[in-house]
Amino acid sequence: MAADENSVVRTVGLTKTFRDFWFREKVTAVRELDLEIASGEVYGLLGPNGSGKSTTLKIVLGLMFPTRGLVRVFGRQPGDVATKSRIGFLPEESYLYPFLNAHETLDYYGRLFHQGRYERRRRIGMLLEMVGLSGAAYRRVGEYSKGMQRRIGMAQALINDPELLILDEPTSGMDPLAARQFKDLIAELSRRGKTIILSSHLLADMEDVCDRVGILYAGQLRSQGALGELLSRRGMTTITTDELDEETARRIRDLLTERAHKVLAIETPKDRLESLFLRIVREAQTRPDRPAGAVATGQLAEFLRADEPAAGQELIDDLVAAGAAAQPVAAPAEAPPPPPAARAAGEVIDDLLAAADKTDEAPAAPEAPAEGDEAPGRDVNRGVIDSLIQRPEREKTDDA
Amino acid sequence: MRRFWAIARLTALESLRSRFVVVFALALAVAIVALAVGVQGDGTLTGQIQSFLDYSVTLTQLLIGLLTVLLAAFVTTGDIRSKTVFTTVTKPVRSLVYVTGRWFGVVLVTASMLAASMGAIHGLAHTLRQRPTKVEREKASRQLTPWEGDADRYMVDNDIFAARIEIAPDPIPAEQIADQELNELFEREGKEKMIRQYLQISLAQKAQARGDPEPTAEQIDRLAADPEIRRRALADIRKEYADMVRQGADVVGPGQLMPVQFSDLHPPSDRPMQLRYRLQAKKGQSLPGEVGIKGAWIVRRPEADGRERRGLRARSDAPDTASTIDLSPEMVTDDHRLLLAYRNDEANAADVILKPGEIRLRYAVGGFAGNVVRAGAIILVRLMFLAAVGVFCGTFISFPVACMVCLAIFLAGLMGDFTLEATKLGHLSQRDALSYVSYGITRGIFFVLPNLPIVHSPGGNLRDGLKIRWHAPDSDGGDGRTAAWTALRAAIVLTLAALIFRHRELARVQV
Repeated sequence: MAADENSVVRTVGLTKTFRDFWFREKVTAVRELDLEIASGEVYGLLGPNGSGKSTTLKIVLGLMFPTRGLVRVFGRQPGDVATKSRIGFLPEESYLYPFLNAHETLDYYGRLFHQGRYERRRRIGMLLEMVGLSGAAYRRVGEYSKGMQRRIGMAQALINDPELLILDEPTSGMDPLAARQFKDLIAELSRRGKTIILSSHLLADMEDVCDRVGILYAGQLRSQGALGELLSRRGMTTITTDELDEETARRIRDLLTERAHKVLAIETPKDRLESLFLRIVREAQTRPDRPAGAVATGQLAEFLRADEPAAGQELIDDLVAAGAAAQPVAAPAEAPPPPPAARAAGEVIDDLLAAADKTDEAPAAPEAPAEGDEAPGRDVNRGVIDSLIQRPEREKTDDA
Repeated sequence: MRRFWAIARLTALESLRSRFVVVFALALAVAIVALAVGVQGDGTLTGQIQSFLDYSVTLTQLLIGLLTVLLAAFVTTGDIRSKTVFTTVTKPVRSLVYVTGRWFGVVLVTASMLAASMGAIHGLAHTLRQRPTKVEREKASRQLTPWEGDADRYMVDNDIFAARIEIAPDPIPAEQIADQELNELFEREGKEKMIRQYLQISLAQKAQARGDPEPTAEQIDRLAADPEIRRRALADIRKEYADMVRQGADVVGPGQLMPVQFSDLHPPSDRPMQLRYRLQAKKGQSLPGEVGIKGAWIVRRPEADGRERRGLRARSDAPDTASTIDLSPEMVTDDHRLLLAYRNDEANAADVILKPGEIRLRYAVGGFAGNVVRAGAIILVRLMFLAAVGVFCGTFISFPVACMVCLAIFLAGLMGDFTLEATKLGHLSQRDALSYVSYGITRGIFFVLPNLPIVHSPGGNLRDGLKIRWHAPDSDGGDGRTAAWTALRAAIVLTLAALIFRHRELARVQV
C-alpha cells in the first residue's frame, strides 16, 4: 500500500483490445501492462508508432476504457472528476477549437477549472507570455501553425497548475527552438515536483528530460528503468579536454596502449545540429525584425512556480548580482559534473555561479567551450536561467 | 455552474461564428420581410395581417426548428469527430454538465434568433396596421362619408391586436333534464306501465332477431316482478332518454328557444365580447328564400331586485357560415354568467341545428405584444426539446445519422395532430387489424415524443387574436399536451444523453 500512496499512476495487467464492427477482437494495443509512476517523476513512454503509448495515456485519462486490468490515477478511477482537476493533458495533436483565439481558448479551459475572472486573466497573461504567443493572443487558433498550436496546447495543459502532466508527443510539429524550450519547461516543472508522463518516439527528447523510461513494443513493456542506468555503456571511458596537439594525442594513445587499453577514437568533437540551430536563431532574435507567430521567451509562468521561494524575486536579484560579478563567463576549471537527464534549475544555477566564482581564482580559458561540448543538463535550463537573470550579453558570450 | 456556462458559451460562440447560422438568419430575415411586403390575404387589411402572422410564425418555427436540429446534432458529433472533446472531458467536467452546457448553448442561439424573429414579426405587424383600410382610403378620397362604419379596421383592432380567450358554453345537463322529464312522464303515464312497455319492446326485438315468437303477457308480468330486472330496465330507460335529450338539444324548432349559458366570465368592462356560432338547417328541410336563417339572440340578466334586463338581437345568418355578434360585458351577471337563448324564427319553417361545439364566447384578456411573447415561448419550448434530441443523438451516433433521426422526429412532431386524427378509432372508422396497429403505434410515438402541431402553431392564435396558453389545444382524443410536459421530456432526453456520454469511449478505435 505504501507504493500506492506514493504512486500517481498505477496500472496492473492493463490490456486494451480493439474490436471490429461485430465486436470481434482484432488488435491488442496494450497487453498486460504493469506501470507505476511515482510522484515528482518524469516518466517517458517510448516506442515506435502503434506500440500502444497513446492508448495507454488515453486509458489513464479516461478517454478509453481498459479491456482488462486495473488503472488508478492518484488512487482513483481515471474518469473521476476530482482527479481530473489535478491533471494537465496535451494530446498528440492540438485538439483546440479553431473558432476561438488563444486568449478565449485559455479562458475557456480556465473556466472549466472553476477559476475566477482575475485568476484566469493573470494566468492567461503569464501563459501566453511563457509560450511566446502574447503577440498572437487574439488570432484564431485555426489560423495558427502547428507549432503555435502545440504551444497554446501546452498552455492549456498548464492552466490549472497540474500535479500530473500528461504530454503525448509534445514536441511533434515544433521547430528545434520551441522543442528546446519545451524541454526546458519540462525540466523546470519537474524541479517544482510535478509528475510528468511523456510519450514520444523522439529519443533525443526523452533522453534530455526523463528520469525513467519504459519502452513499449507491440503493446508490451519491453524495458523499464532509470535513464542513467539504461544509457550507461559499461566498459568504455570518454575523456573530454581542450584541443590536443598531435604529440599529446600520440602520447596518450601510446600510454593507453601500453596499459593494454584499446583506443577507439581521439577526435575533435562536433557541434550538435540542434546547438548550431539554436545559436543562429538566438542571434537572429537580437535583431529588430521579429516573426509574426510565436516568439521564444524561455520564461516560466509565475503561477507555476509561485510556491517556490527559490525561484522568486530574491533569487533573481541574487543571480543578477552574482552574474554581474562573474563576467566574463569562462570555461569551468574542472570537468563538468555528470549529465543528469533533467537537472534542477537551482543546481544548474549553482554550477554556473560556482564556475563564475572560480573565474576569479583560475586563469581564464582561451575561449568559451562550444555549446555542444556541454552536458545536456546545462542546455535544458539555459533559457530559463538567462531570462531569470536578464543578461542577453551573457547569452551571447555563452553561445559564442 | 461556471463550467456549465463555459460550455454553453463555447457552443454559442461556435454557432455564431459559423457561416451556417448566419445564412439561416439571413434567410429567415429575408423571408419575413418578403412575407410582410408580399402577402395580400383576402384583400382586406385584416386578411393581410392575419396571413402575415400565420405564415411568418409558421416559417419561423420551421426554419429555426431545422436550424436547432442541425446545430444540436453538430455540436456534439463535431466535438467528438474533431477530438476537441478530449481537451474538454479531461478537465473536471461531469457528463451532465457537458451535455446540458452544449444543449443550453444551442438553445441560447436559437432563442436569440427566435426573439429577433418574433420582434420583427411584431414590428412588421404594427407597421401593416398603420396602412389604411379600403374604407379609410375611400373616405380620404371622399368616396364615402366620414361616418361610414369600417368593419375592417374594427376587426384589425379587436380581432387581431388583442389576446382573447375563447369560452365554450356550459354542457347541457342531459341526465338532469332526462330525470325531470321522466319523473313527469311516470306520474302522467304510470311507472309500472312504462316498465312493462319497455320490457315488451326489448323482448320483442330480441325475439324477432332470433326468429322466436313474441313474448306473452305472462312472461312480461313475470319479468316485471323481478326487482333486478326492474332496476336494469329503469336504468336503460333513463340512459336512452338522456341520449335522446342530448341529441335533441342542438335542434331548435321554428318558434322555439334554445338556452345557452356561459359561466366564470371575467370580461373587461371597456371592450365588447364576441359570440361566435354557426347555424345549419336540419337535413331535408329547406329554408325560405335566400335571406338566410332568421332568428334572434336573447340575452337575459337577472337583477338583484328580481327584475330582469333583456336584450334582443334579431339576425339573419347564412347557413354553415361562422357568424359573430358583439355583446356588452354589462350583460354578465354578478355571479359571472351569461344567459343567452337562440330563438328560431317561425318564418324559417325548418329546424335549425346549433351545436354546442360551434358556439364560443370570446373576450380580450391581454394585448398583442404579450401574445407574441407567449407564442415565442411556446415555440422555444419546442425548440428546447428538439435541441435536447439533437444533443442526445450526437452522443452516440454520427452527424448525418443524428440529423436524419432529428429531422424525422421534427417532421413527425409537426404532423402530430394530422397523424393522430388520421389514425383515430372513431365511431365511423373501419376497425380492422391495421387500424388497431396504426392506432397503437402513433399513440406510442406521441407518448414518447411531443406533438409539435403545425396546424395549431401559435401563429394561428396570433392570427385569430386568441390568447396563447401553455396548454396546447387538444384535438379529439388528445392527451392534454402541455409545454411543461414537453420540457419534462427534454429533461429526460438530456439525462439519457448524459448517461450515454458518460459510458461512451470517446477515443474508441474501431478496426
